[in-house]
Amino acid sequence: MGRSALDFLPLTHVVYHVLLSLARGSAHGYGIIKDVEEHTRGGLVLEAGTLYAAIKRLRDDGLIAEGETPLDADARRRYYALTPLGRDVLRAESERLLELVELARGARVLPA
Amino acid sequence: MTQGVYRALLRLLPRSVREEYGEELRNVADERWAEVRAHRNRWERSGFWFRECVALLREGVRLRGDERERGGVSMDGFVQDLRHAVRALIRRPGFSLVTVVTLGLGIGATTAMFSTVHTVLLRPLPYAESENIVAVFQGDVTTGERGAGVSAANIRDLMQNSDLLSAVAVAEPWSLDLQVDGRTESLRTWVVSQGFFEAAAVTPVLGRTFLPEEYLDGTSSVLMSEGTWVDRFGADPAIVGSTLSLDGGTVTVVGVLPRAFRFPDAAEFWAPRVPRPDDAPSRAADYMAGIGRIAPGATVTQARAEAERIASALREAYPRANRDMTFQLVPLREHLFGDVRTPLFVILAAVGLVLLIACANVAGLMLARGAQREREFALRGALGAGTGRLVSHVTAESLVLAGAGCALGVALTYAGVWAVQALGPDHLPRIDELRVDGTVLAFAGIAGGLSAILSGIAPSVRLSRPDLRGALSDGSRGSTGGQGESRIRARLVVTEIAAAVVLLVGAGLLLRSFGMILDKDLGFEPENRLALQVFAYGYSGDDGSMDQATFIQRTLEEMSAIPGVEDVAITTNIPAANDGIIASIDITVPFTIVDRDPPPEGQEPMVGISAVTPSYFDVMGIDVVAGRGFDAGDGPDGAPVVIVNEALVRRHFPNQDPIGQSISIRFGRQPVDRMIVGVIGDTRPLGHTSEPRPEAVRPLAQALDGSLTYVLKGNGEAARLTAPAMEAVWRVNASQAVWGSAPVEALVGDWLKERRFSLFLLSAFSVVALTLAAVGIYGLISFSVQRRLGELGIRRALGGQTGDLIRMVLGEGARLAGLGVLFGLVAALFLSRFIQGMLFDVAPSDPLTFAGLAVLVLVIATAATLVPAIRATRVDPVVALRSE
Repeated sequence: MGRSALDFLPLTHVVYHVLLSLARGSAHGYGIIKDVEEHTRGGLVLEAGTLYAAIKRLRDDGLIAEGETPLDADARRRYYALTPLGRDVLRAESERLLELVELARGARVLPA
Repeated sequence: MTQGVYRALLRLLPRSVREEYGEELRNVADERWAEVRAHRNRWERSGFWFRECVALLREGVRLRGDERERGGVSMDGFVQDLRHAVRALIRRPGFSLVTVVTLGLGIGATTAMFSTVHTVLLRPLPYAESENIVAVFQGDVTTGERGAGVSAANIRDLMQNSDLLSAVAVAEPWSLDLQVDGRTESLRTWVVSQGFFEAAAVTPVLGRTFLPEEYLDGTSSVLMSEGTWVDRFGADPAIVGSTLSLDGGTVTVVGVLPRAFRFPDAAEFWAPRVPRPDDAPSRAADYMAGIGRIAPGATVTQARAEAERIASALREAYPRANRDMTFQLVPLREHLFGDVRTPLFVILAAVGLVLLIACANVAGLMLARGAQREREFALRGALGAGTGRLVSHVTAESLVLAGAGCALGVALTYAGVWAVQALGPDHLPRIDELRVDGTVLAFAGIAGGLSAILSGIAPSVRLSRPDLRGALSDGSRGSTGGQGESRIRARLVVTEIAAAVVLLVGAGLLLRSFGMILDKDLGFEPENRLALQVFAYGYSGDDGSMDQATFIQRTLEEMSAIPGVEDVAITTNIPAANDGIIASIDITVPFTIVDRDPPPEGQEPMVGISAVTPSYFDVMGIDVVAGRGFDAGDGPDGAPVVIVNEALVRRHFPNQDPIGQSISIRFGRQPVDRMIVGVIGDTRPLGHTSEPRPEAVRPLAQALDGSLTYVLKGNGEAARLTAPAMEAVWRVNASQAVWGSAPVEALVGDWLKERRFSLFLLSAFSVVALTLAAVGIYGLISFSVQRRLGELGIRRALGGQTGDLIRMVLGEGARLAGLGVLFGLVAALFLSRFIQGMLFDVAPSDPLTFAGLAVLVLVIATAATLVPAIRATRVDPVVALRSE
């Protein structure tokens, strides 16, 4: 593809959470929704349509790919996993967010 | 149920997405629902599917937008397509030229006609709130016939008694004589009563309208028309307040009225009208134009009802003069445009049809082109171009062609507008306001856009269902894939032929109607006759000055002496006078037949009267069918005589010889008994479409009158006699104004001008339509032959006869033509009722016209396929097979 990770920034928060969810390991669609709901403590509950639109775009852009179905899992479910590019993008975005937090601290918006 | 909606919404997703993720998506949603239903509260349950549907909707639309951008249309891409299209079209000059010219003709004709309709019918009139202005006429309450105008006394009573009319006035036709270069010119003038400018509410270009006191002292103030101001006085800015020498006196110009203001008719001056003592008795003299303004808040219907109430009181008060009189209020727009509305819309519809035919032709051409490029499109599709991309491509081509066609169309519109103004009838109201303005250009743009859509739709639709495999497979030449195109094109051609038939039938019916009208005998001979009208008043003969009789005699002598003049006569009212150039002095009075029981008071029959010199019937070519004409003995000292026409005899002397009977005509102070000495043939007083009516003619010598229309019979063209005739009048009296002169043929022809114009337009459009349709069918059959070159080559190689081949191709063409003609006849049958008002003595379903035109179109359409048929026979079998 030839696109660098920085080309994808900034990420929407839906995309960020999906990637974050997959950072822990491959997952299927339902699992991603549950995981995001959990790690945002109910803050973000994805609808099926939203999720799969994101999955489609991420796959088209090469940030995620269809992964291997774990041996003990239901064979009908499709599992997705981060690609190296996807991992890079997630890291880059997280660093960007960190920089923003630092700036906020410097401006005393957040406690140091 | 909501799950059903959800499943339906899945269709919103682009197909690729649906196929890839659809099932998974649905499963996940169902799983989530199971969880929510089990563990969540009522609130979250009820909102679940709603949120899911909204999300699906949103994402579906967004994904489709992405797809379009990536693989299909985008703004930059479209601009590129346009550039491509221009280049591609330049590379194919033949196709492009034919298409652009076809579209240009269609758009140009439609827009020119729209411009005419818009100017004449749609553009607002130059009067404020013109919906409230009505023209006032006197009419017959029993028959509903409308009179020529209204009389001053009746209008005054209407004004005094009406609450719903805020202003009522009359305009009396008049003339002011202007001395120019030693000659006297009569300038058309309207003498208007108080309230005229309140009713018309026209804003002067300069100065003001009349003040109330000016209506009391007569014509010392005048208003000038803008045309006169520009043409005669060079748009002198100091015109207001200046004085002119008119009519033997001085007048002051107080204002200039706009050129567009021409109620009741075009004129050069307006003067205030002083109420006259003889107004009251002349209630029947309804030659004045009436105008009224409906008060705010009142409707036309209410005003009409009130006018009828006032009329009925007047009928009672003046039973003889106002017998059967009623007022007729006609809204101004209807009064001005009533007659031309139908023909104009019919022509606009006709032109619309031509545009459709042009678009159909172009669509056919583009389809053929599309078929040729099917391989190219198939390749593009295989390489990833979405349907959207290809549609954008074809649309760009359509737009470029339509744009060029539009530009050509606008140029043709200018030419068309000029042509309409040059050739159109003068009677067509506001025709000199015709111009190409913003609205017209906008219409051209819309017509162009419509053409682009119509001619681009067919090929685009075809593209959305590409048969990629078929087009790319071996052995396909690309153009054999033209099956579907050919079917569509065949349907287009059939439609074109049908439309052409409809137009031709319309033109044909009008043509026959026109012929019927011309066939009607006028009762007189207009050729080579010149009419010249003067209003010779003031010849009192006092103090040795000329008297009326002498003036008449000397002018007749002078005119007879003109070389080229065979004979001269005078009448007080010439038939076919149209109030344009020659004023119509149409007088109808009651009469009784002597020695018969008189009819009850107020029920006397009416007769049209005039007075003529003895040679008049000869000069006009009117037959004397019984008795004698007038001679020198019918002078002021002779017995009072009269000659009547056949219409009067038919109605009043059906079983009796009228010669020797006497009638008593009430005109002037005393009724005069006159003996009938002759009967003349009927004439049509108002052109070909008017019916003869009872007329009584008196000798001019016994009924001297100042309104004289000279008729000069020449041995050549009448127009050449105009100048000599006017000189003859001025030789007798240099300050006698000539009101106007025109060849009688022109007067008669004027009644026909509108019909002739409609006929000309409709015929022109039909011919264009037929040509386009013929081109269409030629193109289609040509293409079909091209496609089947191989098959034809084989046939020839196997010994097929030339005749058979020709018959085969012609048969194909004839079948299409036959279908088209059939549909066209049915449509024409249905539509022709709309032009019934324009037809005269011809039924809208006239079988002769229908049959004749059906045959004509069939022959021409089939003939158009002759060339491809002959080409089919010239096919070299070897060449044809090789290219297969």
